[in-house]
Amino acid sequence: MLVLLPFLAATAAAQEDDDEPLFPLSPPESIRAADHPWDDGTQIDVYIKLSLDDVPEGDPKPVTHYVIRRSGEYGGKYVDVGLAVPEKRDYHAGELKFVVEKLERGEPYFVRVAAVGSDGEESAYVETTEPVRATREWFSGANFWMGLITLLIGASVVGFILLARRGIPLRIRKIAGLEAVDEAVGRATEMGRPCLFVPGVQDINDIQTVAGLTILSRVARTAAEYDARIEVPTSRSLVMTTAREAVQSAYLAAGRPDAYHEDNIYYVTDEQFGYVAYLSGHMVREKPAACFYMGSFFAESLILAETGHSIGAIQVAGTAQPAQLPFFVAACDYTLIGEEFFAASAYLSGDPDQLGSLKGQDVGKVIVAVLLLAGCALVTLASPALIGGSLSEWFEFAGEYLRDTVLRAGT
Amino acid sequence: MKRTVPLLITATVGFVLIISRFIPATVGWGEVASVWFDILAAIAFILGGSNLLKLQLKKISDRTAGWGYAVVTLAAFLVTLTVGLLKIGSPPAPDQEFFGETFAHLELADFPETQVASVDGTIPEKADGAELPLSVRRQIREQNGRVLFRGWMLRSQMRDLLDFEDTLRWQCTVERLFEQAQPPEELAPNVSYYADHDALGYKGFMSDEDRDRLLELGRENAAWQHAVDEIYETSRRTTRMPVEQLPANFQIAASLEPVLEYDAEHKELVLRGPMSVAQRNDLARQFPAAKPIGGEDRAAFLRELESLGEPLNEEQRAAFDRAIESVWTPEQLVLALNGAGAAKEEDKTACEMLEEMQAGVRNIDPQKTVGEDVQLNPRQEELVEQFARDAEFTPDELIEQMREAGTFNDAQAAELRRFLNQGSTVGEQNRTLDRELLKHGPLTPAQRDFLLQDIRSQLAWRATVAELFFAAHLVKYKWSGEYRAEGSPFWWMYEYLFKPLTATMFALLAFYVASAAFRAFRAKNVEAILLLGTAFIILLGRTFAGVWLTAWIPDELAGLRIENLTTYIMQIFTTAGNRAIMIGIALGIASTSLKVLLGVDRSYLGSREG
Repeated sequence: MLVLLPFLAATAAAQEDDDEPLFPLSPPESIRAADHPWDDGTQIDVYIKLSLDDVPEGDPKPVTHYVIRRSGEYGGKYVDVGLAVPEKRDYHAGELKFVVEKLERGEPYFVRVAAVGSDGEESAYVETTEPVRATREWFSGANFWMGLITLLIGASVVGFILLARRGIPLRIRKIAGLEAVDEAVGRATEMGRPCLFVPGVQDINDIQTVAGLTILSRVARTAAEYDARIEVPTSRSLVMTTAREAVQSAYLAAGRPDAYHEDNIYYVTDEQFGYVAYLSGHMVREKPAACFYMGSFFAESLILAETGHSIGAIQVAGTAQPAQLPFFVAACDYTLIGEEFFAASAYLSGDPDQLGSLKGQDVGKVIVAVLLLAGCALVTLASPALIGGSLSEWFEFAGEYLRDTVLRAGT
Repeated sequence: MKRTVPLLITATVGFVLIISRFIPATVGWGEVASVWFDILAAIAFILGGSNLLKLQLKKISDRTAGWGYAVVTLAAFLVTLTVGLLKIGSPPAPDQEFFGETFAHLELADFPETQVASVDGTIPEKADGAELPLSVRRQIREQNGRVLFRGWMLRSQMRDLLDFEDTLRWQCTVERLFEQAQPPEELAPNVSYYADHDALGYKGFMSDEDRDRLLELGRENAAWQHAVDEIYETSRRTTRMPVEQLPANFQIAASLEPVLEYDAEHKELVLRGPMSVAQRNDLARQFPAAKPIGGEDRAAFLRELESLGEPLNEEQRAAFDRAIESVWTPEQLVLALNGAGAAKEEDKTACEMLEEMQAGVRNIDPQKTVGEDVQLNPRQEELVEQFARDAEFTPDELIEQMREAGTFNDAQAAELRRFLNQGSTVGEQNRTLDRELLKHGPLTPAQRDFLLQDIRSQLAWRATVAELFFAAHLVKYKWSGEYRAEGSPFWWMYEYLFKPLTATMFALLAFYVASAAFRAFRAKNVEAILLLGTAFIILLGRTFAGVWLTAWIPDELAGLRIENLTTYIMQIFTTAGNRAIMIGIALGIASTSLKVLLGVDRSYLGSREG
């Protein structure tokens, strides 16, 4: 950290009139600038000791804010980089911190700060006399909490997978929507009609599409075993090729490679409502006996589900779009809600490795519950009516830290 | 191997994206990975497109049920693809066309050695290894303590260089280099070199003198000579445009005088060379600016209007006065001219600031005051009043008389023209009047013709000027425009075929919501009754009827009013439920992503099954 001496403009003291000072406001007592820790090398921190005229109360306040300027050389052209308004806790500390952003890594910077009064008049400036340089660290501190939580959840998922491999029995609750897959495909077989699988309207880089395709793999295998026809119209080319791989392998695994028809998995259009128009028309004409909607859906969810309902198909839907869940719940026979959708692959496969990952997910829920309770407790205890004094303030600060730093990290 | 390679790619890219979130040095890797995905998805579209073609052709060939739809799909696909890909009918991008300029290809290496500028100084080295801005990288270099620049520096290039380092010494070097790296004085207003385009540019019609001056710059340079000759030929192209009727008081603006003339015999405008946007605007501006009409003039105008039909009713008369008074006032013009005459704050140059810094100035003010305050004197203000009253008093006459009456600088003259140009013309004002009067009562066809005659001529003239402007322009980058630029065939198909069709599909949602709600809200058990009750409150709370029904509830029990109950349910119960689902989803995503990256779940690739 670089500590720098305050420097008052020479003119401030020297050019005072007999009766009236040139600057009616006291400047900041001192400033220091240092590299912002754990960043990408584009920020420096400026610590400003508040002006003697700066008090928290007053109408108007004598000092309303501080103006911060920077230059690439000492005594050169200084440009405004922002304004800093002190908050309650800054008055307690007597110091204010301002982060100068969008700097060039490793370049020297000099800073000047002046207090500004309610009438817009500036005090003399205080400046740094040594350059400060922004350096890049190996880790982004802004994402520390996010990284820690990710690590905890990731480690617990891996940990439970390892436990499952050692043969520790893991139990998961029944998910009706997934139990219904065999029933739906069986019904289609009995009726001699096809199954329709819709993997959503997003591309393969969307995790919901990937989750949908893992379910497709299972549905296709059941269809192959029952000798039912499965159709997969897609709205993205990459999803089509991936779905073909998944279905082909499923047919192979079921011992029915000859029954696999590549043309049953085809591309329609990227356009949302063009895709919906095709699917609706296709459903009305072909009347599939079972419809699966597994992936990311938007406004088309209800159009598809209602069309499916109108032709009397058994319908199973799964998505992680909260806004579309009520539509699927209202119009489909079974709906995989949020996390159930992601658990489907593990559930259907019964593979211990994958079941372990579901248990690891539960650790995440415990962390969320603990943070939820801690947040509620801190906000309650921060109420001045309950405790009051500096302890209340500490709880308030802790609550704000939890909300703004821990939970909003990296957003 | 067929499964392992995609799995490895997935895992690598996935981990890179995660790491780039936490390790600043790898942020760029994440961006590159995302770009690669986009490229891959774009290439994959060929697969999708060919699959679509294959299936539709098969349907047609097999004459399967509904093969007619396949024909329509195929035709729509091919037409859209062709029109969009070839940008048929799309105009070129205006910012790439350099209207008014003629280009000739000239490589930077062929730029004459005589035109390489150099100043004392060094190019700074950046701590993070950043290179010079891309816009100048090919043109600038350092040699023996001097900075050299090949080509003529554009203002945008100077700005890029100034931003490269935040020190006055470097910025002063750039300013001096900019001054050096300019064409000879006589050629400077017209000639430019665009290194990004590898093009020598010339504004307007090239004279023989300018051609000789340019050729002189590179006597032994064949490429240069060729480029100059090419521009000379192209820039002297003549464009003729038939004109049905010239505007009354037609004048050729000073900017067009040397290159434009009216051929009265053939009733044609004859333009030599290309036309710039400023010249186009000057030519289009042939119609007098509207002026305030007061007193007897206003009464006479009204009498004339009423003589062509029925007298205006009370509301029309009020609208007439409002419309007439919405034009500028002499006070506003005086204020604008005084504002333009005030001394200006201008940015100091880096060299000026460097000089101050070296002289020991502690707090450099980056701005300086330029010029003196020039305010209108009473006689000049009187002239403005007179100008506003007299319809025959032209802006040129006003400027001349203002200069005779006192100090009136160029900035004020420019402000006067800008002030009048940004306001309405007489035709535009009368069109507004026509619209306002029609809102409050009828007008006869004769009255409307009287009000609209000026704007009709104005619009017809503008169309002629626009045609001349584009006819005189040689397109530089045919495919630079947006494929769905307004007015293009693709835009037309999108607006009038595609959008209505998608809107129709979307509109179906309203009916499906009703039918789904009907089933969902049937009170068959306790949960359904709760759902029905909640839905009833929310639906009612969002209508005026709901608010009206519970408005009688006293303020002490305001929480029971239906709109407040709605807000309470949405903010507390719905938000809580939504958040619970969101948390579950977030954890599910984390777990699934990890399974995919670690290869625990490979069923989406078919591995587990195969």
